[in-house]
Amino acid sequence: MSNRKMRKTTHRTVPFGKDVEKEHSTAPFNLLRGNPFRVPDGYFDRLPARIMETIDEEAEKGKTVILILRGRKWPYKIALAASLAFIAFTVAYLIFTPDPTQRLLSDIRQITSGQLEEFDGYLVNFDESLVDDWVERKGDGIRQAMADSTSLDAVTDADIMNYLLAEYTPEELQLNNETDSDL
Amino acid sequence: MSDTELLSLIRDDQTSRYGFSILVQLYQTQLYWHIRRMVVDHDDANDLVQEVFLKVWKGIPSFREDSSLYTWIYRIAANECTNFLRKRRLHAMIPLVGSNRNIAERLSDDPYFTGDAIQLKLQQALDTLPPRQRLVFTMRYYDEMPYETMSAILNTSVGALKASYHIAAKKIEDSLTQD
Repeated sequence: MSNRKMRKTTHRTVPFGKDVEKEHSTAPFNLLRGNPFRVPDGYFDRLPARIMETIDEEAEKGKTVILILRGRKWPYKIALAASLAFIAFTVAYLIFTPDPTQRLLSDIRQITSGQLEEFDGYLVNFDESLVDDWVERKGDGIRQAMADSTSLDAVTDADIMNYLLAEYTPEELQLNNETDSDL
Repeated sequence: MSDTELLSLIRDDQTSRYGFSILVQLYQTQLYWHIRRMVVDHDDANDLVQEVFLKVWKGIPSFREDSSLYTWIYRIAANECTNFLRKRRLHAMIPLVGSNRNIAERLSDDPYFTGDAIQLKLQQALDTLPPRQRLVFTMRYYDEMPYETMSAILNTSVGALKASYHIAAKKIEDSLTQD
């Protein structure tokens, strides 16, 4: 265990009202609302300065450094060009190395926040978490159906209806309908 | 200080840094804890909170004040957190790359987590939620935010948010009452 200093933080956000307390009064996790996380000592005192440094660093990145070779002799220029060509070749080789795992990882890393936000744009007025949940539940249902039968053809509409009724409350199904109608 | 006064300070070249430092002081604690509850790890939260404020700084010149500063900043934080969690889930799906340690292993080594066994179990349950569902749960349960405010931030209907919260709470309840 690190011997770094820790500060116990009892931060609570804005108390919006008793309706939240009432909503959770019977939940088994209600007693767990205490904060199990700590921050380094003095963290919030240093954070504003660090944020301003980040902003300054970002501003610096915008400035382009131009390499000027005025006054250099031709052999230096040739050596520099050769070095750059070697670096470009190495980078190209690494990029096009046919390692599917590394390529996939690289692709994921290249997903920008903008692209993710653009994807979110397609989901306006649409609660994505309901889709996540539906897919998760449906996935289990499909796996169960495959385990119970030799073919998905054996799953009838009645089976699907029974599954939905068993997995969702009438209120949930009603709310899902509301969401659909919002689209 | 009103949003308008604060924005005027920040948009004035002479007082922009002073104004922004006030904004940071106003929101840093609340934003940090929201992000920390989402991503759990302090270093990740620290990186994300700086990224959020950087986006706020860059975005203020084009901020049209269609919503309050609070709503706008919280929306940026929510997007950053869900994007981060999605990427982490994608990484976790790829074997032998990155850190595939589960939440229990990570927290057991974390000097900034002092929760007991049941708190650890709660974190494990939260880690199974889809990012957006976790966001809704965090905003409602920990941040104690009204559904109407959540609706403005997430651009989602109150009914859908209630359903999402209900499902998340049920999953966590089931997870905690197992064994």
